[in-house]
Amino acid sequence: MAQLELKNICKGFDHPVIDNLSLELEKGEFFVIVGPSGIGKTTLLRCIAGLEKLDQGEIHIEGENITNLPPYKRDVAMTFESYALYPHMTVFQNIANPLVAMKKDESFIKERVTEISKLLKISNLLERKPHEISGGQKQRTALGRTLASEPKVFLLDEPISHLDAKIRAELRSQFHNLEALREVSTVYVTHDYAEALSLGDRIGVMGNGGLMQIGSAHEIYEKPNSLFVAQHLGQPGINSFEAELSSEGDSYFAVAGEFKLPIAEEHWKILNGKKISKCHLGIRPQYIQLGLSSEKSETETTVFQGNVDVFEALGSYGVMMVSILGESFTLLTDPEDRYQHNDNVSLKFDPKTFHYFDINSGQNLI
Amino acid sequence: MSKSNTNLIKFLLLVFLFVWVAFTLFPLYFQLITSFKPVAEINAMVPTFWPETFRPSNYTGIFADPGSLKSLIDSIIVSISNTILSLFLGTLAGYALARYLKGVVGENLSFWILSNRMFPPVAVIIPMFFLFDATPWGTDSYISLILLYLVFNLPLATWLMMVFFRDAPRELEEASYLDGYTPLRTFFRVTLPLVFPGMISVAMLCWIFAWNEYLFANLLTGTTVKTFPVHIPSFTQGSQTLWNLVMAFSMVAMIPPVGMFIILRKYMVRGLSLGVVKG
Amino acid sequence: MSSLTIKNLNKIYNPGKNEVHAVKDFNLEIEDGEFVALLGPSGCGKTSTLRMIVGLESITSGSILFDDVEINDFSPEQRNVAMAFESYALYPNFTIFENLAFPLEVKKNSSSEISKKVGEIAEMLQITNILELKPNQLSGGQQQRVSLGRALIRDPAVFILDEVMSHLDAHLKFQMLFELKKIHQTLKKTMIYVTHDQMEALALSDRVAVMANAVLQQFGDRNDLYHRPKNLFVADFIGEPATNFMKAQYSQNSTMKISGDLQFSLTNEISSELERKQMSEAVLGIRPQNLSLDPIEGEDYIQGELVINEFLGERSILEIKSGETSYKVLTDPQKNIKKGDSLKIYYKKENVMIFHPETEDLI
Repeated sequence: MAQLELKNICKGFDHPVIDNLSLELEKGEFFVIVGPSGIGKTTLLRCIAGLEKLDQGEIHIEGENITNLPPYKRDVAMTFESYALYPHMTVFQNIANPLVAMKKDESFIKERVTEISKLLKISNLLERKPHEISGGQKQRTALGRTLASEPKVFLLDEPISHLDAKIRAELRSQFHNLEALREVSTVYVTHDYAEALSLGDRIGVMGNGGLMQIGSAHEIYEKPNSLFVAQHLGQPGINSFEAELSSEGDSYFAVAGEFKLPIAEEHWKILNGKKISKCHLGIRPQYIQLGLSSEKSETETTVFQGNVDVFEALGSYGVMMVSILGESFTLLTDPEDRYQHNDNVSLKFDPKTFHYFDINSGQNLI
Repeated sequence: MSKSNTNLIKFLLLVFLFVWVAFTLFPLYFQLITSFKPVAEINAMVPTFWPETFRPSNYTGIFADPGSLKSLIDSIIVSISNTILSLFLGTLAGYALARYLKGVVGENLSFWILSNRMFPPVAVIIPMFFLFDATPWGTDSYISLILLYLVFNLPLATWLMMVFFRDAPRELEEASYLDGYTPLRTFFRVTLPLVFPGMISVAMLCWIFAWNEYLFANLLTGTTVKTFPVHIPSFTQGSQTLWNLVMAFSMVAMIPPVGMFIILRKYMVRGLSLGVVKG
Repeated sequence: MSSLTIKNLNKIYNPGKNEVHAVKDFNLEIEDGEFVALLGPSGCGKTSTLRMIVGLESITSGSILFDDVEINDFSPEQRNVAMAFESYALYPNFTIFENLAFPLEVKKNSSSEISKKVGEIAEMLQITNILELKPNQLSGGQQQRVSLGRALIRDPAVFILDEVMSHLDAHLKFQMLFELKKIHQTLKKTMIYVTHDQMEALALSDRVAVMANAVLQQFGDRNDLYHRPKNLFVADFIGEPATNFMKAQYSQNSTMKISGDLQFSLTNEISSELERKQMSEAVLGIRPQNLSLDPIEGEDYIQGELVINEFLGERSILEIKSGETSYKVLTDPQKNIKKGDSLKIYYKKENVMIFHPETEDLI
């Protein structure tokens, strides 16, 4: 029996935000919903929590239909993007709040809060008010409050997106290690694809109206079912442009203006079988290799010369934008090497890593 | 701008502020010294700026007079009852308006409620008199005066509380529902503490209106119930006004509002700026 | 355009009682046309420094020079410094054109001159098509560009950007980083970018000044900060994922022992330095991207057990445990390893950083 089950749920304000969405989560599963802001991720969480009424459909927890129960009768806990800590209560009182609601006795509450605060490393803050602690500590307190009540379903709305990169990394590994999450089903909402890939047992990529693709991190990153999914995952984003497909004897090419790239044979078989003549070509930045400009040999069809537009050396990688024959490409480089504006470089493409998307629907054609 | 210039401006500003403070505080000072003078000295042609004869018995005289004492007690009864009622009803109504009546209906209804505060009170004074005269307890009673002040205080209280509730983050209430609290328990446990500074400000505004009000109190009451503003004219006997007693009585009547303001100032300022600064 | 020199700059708030020394003996030389980032955690004194450069804060001691001219006593308008703020601070009731033209109107330029200049700036920032709109009709990124444009249009000597990207979302921030870099490539103006985000600082600037506790910790380019951090603070603050730090004991034959079997070999230079200073304890730091699963010829390796294999798309972060010590490794995406696997992790000796346990300076 699924821990959380959504059956054909619909929700719309002036237009359908969630359109006929069905989903089943197992006990202990960590499900991440990733998507651009304003797409309805939070609305979905609020529907599960009972803060929004469904237009249609049913929600079941452990087989029990809870569609019409008010939030305070659902076995669901949720953290808010703004943390929503009660400003007039101490950290202790905030965490204890759900237990007080259940009218647990004082010694039990004390024990449970102490246990949770140890787990989340906030034991020394229990007497402080929310405005006296840092963002990361607020996040931990909010998390503690949701853990305290031992719910059956755990909803997390952008829990770490407003924190500094370092604290984000630390809290990410905390989510990996929290055994308490293995006892419940978790729905985690974020706009950051890296967070989603890192945390999700399964990941749902949300677009207009619902989940465009559901799968494991490797599945959705390496086999995106649509251009939308491919564009949303990855930073810098996937290079994509319109290309026409043509063959010259035994070799096959994707052509955009003067720019011409070979197509891998296994891809061509599928594309040709579907009679595709035009498509969106997608190339992930990390699959473009940088070489020295002198390396170009005449017979090599996958190597191109170009000029550096912009180069930025970030911490663990460098990002370079290069224009070749009117197309602009973003690629990842070694941050140790430095490049100047207008430097001449050569790029090597690997046709096996290309993605082909339908020109109209954006569906992956392979 | 050079440094000496800035210093000169600072100095001029200080001088101006000093003059301004002296100007505004002088009447208060004059009231204070007058309350300690004998009548003869007050009526002297050249006013004295420090009492030549120091007479604290002006104050003891007031408390010896049962009329004066009763008028202060009446004022306390009327103003506090009115404040409690205004705050209680205004908080509930304001919450309802803020959370449950949004959109066109809510906007218009809340504005209509506030507009009750906008007409000149004199315009309704005669209808009010006949209205309360027709009630079983008549015009000259605590209930009448308390209800009458509610006409003016409740719209203000409702409107202000509505604004405070609107600024209280909805998410905190939602978090509380998810913690397992019913809407009613959430209201008392989460929402009310959030708007507490606002409630203090509203209480102060209502209370000060009811404490100081003269016009209606003078018209409706005067025998059974007599608030202190209505009592002050009784210090005039014939052509003689006992200014020293008037001033002493006024000083005593000023103590509660000033004292309360000093005690609650922290909340007042926070309450009044509650809607201005978010987060 | 000008160069900027800061000499022994100090800022003390409330001298005497409750004294706060916000900036201590700060020295910096910025070349003409250079893009410099002033980086540090909140409360490190970077905002005070910047306010003294702009002229919004008085200077306690020291001097600031534009092109060798001391400007300590100049008013903000005389300094010709432009500043863009975190909040875009656009006038909501003006159109974009009027917003851009505003600094010129104050200077009483002729209207034909104004429209020419606005046109130029708008073209450079690619906002020509939105000149007639009001600010609230624009996206966050567009507003940011307009705000930059309004600062640029005065043709300032020095251009200061104060946390301009802190509240853009990650996607937009990434785009804006490139646009800002392009703008600097075109304009070649002296720019100072104030931020607490090391990624922004490294991405944009030629050199980065790292500040902490009112003191300039280090001033250098990315490679300096990455490979030769002056102290533990810089090594920790710069780089993501964060540098792995471990308490270590020096033992003979050029190795640092951490705990159990875990030990790192050192270069001869560092070990002779340690021996010379007779240090037995130290803090060892190694960056996650300098640890590798691929064998590096002739180099040493350490052995550990995989705890978390965190897949992030373009790369993976592995959390590894050796005995009691856990650390992170940044690699290409790894599919074939899972929790509990025993791994060999290679490193180059020269990437091992050793810090003094008390002064926290790099050895």
